[in-house]
Amino acid sequence: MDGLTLGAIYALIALGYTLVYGVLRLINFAHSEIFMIGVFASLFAVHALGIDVGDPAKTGFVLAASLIVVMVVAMLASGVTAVVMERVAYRPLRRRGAPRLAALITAVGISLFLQELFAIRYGREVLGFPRLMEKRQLFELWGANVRTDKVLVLVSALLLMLALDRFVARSRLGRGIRATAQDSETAALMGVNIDRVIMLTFLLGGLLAGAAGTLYGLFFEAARYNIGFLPGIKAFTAAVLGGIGNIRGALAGGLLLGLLENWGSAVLGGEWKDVFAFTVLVLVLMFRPTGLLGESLGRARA
Amino acid sequence: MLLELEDVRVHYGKVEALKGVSLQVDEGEIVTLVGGNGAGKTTTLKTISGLRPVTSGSVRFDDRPISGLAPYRIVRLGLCQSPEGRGVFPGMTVMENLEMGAYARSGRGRPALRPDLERVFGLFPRLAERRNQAGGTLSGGEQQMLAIGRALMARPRMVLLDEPSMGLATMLVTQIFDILAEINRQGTTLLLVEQNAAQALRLAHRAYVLETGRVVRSAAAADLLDDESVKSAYLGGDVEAGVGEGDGDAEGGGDGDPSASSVP
Amino acid sequence: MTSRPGGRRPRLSIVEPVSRWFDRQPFWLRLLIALAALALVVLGPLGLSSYWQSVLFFPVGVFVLLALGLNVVVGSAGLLDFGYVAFYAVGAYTTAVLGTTHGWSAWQALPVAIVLALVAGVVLGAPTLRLRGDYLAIVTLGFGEIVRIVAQNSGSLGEARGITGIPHPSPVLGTAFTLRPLPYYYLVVGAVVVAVVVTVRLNRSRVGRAWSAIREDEDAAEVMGVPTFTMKLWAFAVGASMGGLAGWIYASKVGFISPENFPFFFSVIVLAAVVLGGMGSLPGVMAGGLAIAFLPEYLRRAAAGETITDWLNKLTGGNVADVTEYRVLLFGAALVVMMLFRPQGLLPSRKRAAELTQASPETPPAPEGAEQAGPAQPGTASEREDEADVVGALIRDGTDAGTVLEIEELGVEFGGVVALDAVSLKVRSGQIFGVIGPNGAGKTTLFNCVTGMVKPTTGRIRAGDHDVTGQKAHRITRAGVARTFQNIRLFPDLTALENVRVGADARHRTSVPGALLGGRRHRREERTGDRESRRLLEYVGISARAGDLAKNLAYGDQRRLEIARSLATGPTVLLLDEPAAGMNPSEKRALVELIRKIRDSGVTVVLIDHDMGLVMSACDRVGVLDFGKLIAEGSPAQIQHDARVVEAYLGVPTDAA
Repeated sequence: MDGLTLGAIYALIALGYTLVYGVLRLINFAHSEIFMIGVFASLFAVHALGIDVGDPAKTGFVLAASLIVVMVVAMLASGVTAVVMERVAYRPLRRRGAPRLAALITAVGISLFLQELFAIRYGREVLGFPRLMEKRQLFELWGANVRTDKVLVLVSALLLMLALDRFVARSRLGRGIRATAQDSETAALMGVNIDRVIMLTFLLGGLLAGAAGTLYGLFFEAARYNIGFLPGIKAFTAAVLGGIGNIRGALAGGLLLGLLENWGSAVLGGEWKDVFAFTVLVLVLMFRPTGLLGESLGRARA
Repeated sequence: MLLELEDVRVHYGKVEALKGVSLQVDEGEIVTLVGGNGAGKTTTLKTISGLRPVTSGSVRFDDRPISGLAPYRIVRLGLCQSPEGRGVFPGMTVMENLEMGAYARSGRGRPALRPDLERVFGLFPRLAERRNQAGGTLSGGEQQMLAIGRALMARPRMVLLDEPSMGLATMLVTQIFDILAEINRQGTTLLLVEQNAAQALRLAHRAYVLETGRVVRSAAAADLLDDESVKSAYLGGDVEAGVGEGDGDAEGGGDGDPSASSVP
Repeated sequence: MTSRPGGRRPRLSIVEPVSRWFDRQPFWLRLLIALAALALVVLGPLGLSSYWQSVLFFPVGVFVLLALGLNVVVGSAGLLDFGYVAFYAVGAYTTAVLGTTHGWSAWQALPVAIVLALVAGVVLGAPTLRLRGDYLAIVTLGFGEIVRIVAQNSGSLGEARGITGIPHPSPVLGTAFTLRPLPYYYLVVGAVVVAVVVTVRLNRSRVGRAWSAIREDEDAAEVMGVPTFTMKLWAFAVGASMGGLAGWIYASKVGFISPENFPFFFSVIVLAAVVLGGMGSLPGVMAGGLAIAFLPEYLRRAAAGETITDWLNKLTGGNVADVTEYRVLLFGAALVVMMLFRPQGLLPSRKRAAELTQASPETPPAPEGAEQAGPAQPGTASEREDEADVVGALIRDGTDAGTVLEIEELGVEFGGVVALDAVSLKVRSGQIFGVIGPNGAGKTTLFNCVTGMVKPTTGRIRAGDHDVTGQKAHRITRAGVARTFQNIRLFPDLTALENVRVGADARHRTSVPGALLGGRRHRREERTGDRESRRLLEYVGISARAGDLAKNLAYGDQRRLEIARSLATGPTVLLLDEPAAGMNPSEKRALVELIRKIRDSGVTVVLIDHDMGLVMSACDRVGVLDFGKLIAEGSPAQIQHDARVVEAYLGVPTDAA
């Protein structure tokens, strides 16, 4: 259950990598910081609602309403950051036809910049996250501890992913994204405004990363400037595992990685969890570089 | 003039791909660009559609300068292109591909597209049969039909066609060219780039001959079709002349003569 | 990212004008400047306080060394490595473990540290170097983290506590290595000199040319006979061993290391140094390392530092006392700004700067008719004979009349689409063989199969006596099959001469050890390679352009250069993919002359073209492909009158219109 919960968060973040990669063939290394901003925004929103560490957990309508408010704030914060980042850093590079190496180095630069900005503003220590909801065990299923917060994380992540999948498969803008991913030049010839599509993919990826930030905060109850690094790398691993550029692949890859990691730390010990995840990444890239479900956003059809 | 290029120059890095191309297409015409590989035909079309930046010169569509406009804006003005290699979206169904064609007419749902779909399915009944099949699984000929049909979905005033005969069997080429003539009769202006120059010249009203990035001739299509030098250089040389028309009538006796490859 | 042509780069270079100015000065002045620089490096630190001497060792010296090492990987070979710190860590931990638990002296540990780092480079490289650029970056990042986490969790490596009591090196030449920084500073200077010498020697050898070629166009490099995988592995190994050396120096100086010394952002800072300085440029990279290590230390101490810290605190809303806290933030911002405004770095490499300072950078790129065809005209009879020898002499297998290329039942499928269908062909020695067919008929796929760029699904290919079916492209090239590309794939940022020399290196065998030690074979190969390459440029008629970057050549000259590069590999069969595309009639005539000349030198030519006149006049035999099938083969006259060809290839008969 821990594996699935964590995997669902990985999957939400992975979608951001996948969307941007599908359209631009760019690994947006700074996406992990978009997620980090989502965690911080959630924390600030929780504080703004007047909830502090040690306050009694909320229930019922109050809980639902505050959860929704927090998540919306986090989604907006991350989404806006992602869009600004695209406009300020990536678009000028694209205009100039810069090599991919330049884009990747830019991404690393942004990532460091954002991390350090938060480190300097909010310190390098872990910030506690007030408990919003009671973490009560619902029941046990095949030895797994099914807890309220885990169910909430899993269900909301799945709902968001379903919404994204429907949007990309059904809507006109979603068709524009898929067309651009498959063949951007032809898409332009069909009247697709490529710049707007790219902005949209950054926005969507940002929104989901923001939501992932809220869920992460809810589950782990911690925020820190470098909190994005590991989930970011693992979400990328998940995206590659499922086939980068492939929306459903990100879901499958995220859940699978979460489970694998959980299993790995059970067998090898928790301190080897990350080594295990990195090893999985290397092995996947070696033997199946296009992932389990294959590359291409275009094929993620309804 | 519906479309007018004036002294257009285009560079790929430092290499000049178009060295001052000027051409005009009038409303209702079919004009063709012929020339060898690397002559700049595809570059010309990409430049008109805004995919390649113009170094100097002007492109005007309906008396409006369009060089420098983003490709999607040009499409919205009614100037569409069916690109080389067809550009069918492989992961989308035939229907979705056609809907992509109407992308520029924003905000219209499927009902608004019905007349256009009917028109395309009327021209290409095969597409109607395969409407739910993924574009990538179509045969070459079906993909070409889809590419042309998709360009029509935008209700364009003019369509640029890049090598519609590429990779197609003879029978299909004839069929496609017949439909192009029909589309033109229904009121759409066509600018056609073709390697299969003989075929294109038979369809077109006028033609431009492109050579290493510049226009070296422009004339009525029929005149070029009969022109010996054009024949030897662009119509498949002596092969076409010797076999296609006279069947063994070895025209010009140019077999094996190096001078046959040159145009004065 | 999607790329657009005509991109502009800021046209500034600092290294080039300075180095040109330097080259123009009289010998005594150059010597004086060099001595002064040496004196500054050697004697300068003597006057500094112990603190600054220590800063000069670490971070400054160590960073310069690391930047040089990473530059081999990123700058020379173009491989992005985000986990470079791993090799530094391997060197440091090797020294630490050998010194503390095995009682080795630092000097004894030195070779082991370097070799283990090199091995780590190979271990990381072997499975991952087949990956595309971005994936490689992420995997190297993962590897760097794995090394750190392993150190953190292994009892024998001291876990998070690290290892203390690493022995200092024993005295050398009366210099004791204690806690005083100065001796270590000289050690680092020595290591930097070694790294520079190694890099320069390699870059000027077959290995360096191979790296450049891989950086520019990996597939084309492989087809020109570069064993790309081996060469990339060498780049990783060489870079890693320099990292190991740096780790050794660091560990033996400070005597204490822990996983905290090797975080991910360390890799990023070294990468930042390389990028900021100018990838591939030695002065640039060293300056980058110097700047990135020195500036924060300087600001920390300088009076201005406090003001700047205040200012940054206001800007970011932070509240820190030490300006070094801002270091990473500023690096991040600097990386972004550099990529936006000066992607080539502060002191770009001479090679890339060469573009801006060549004598005639504004060569009219387009072939302008007959006057351009001039250089292609064959010279006097005696000259021609001489030139013919150049190409003839390179052919390895005898030219006895036989079958030089035999294709049997060749089939290729791409995801269910049949591109080639049971094609069988024999090309006899001394022929010019034409392949024609409509676009999409499978002509280029045929070439791709023969040269090993595409693996055939069925069938066999023999080149001379070798069965080359499914072999790697560089092996096929070495078996005597060379090619050009439809869409010209030169190494754009290498000079014309260097392009040809990459081809010539297909016949050479010098690798890293030979190039480093300057062995006899290396020198001989360099000499003959240079001479042959120059003569080949002459042979195709572009010797006047030897020093120009390939991308600045006129279109027709680029085609000729590509032919020269292919000929340099010493082929028995030369495949030309649409050599006449984009040429005007007089250029085409000159091209036919050249192709005949090549044939007369003893090289069999197979060519694809759409110009019927050219094919029919130049070729001895012609094969026709249609929908992946060979539908006819024969003399030009036979082909012209073959009913199947007429029907399938020429399109609709006249009466259909």
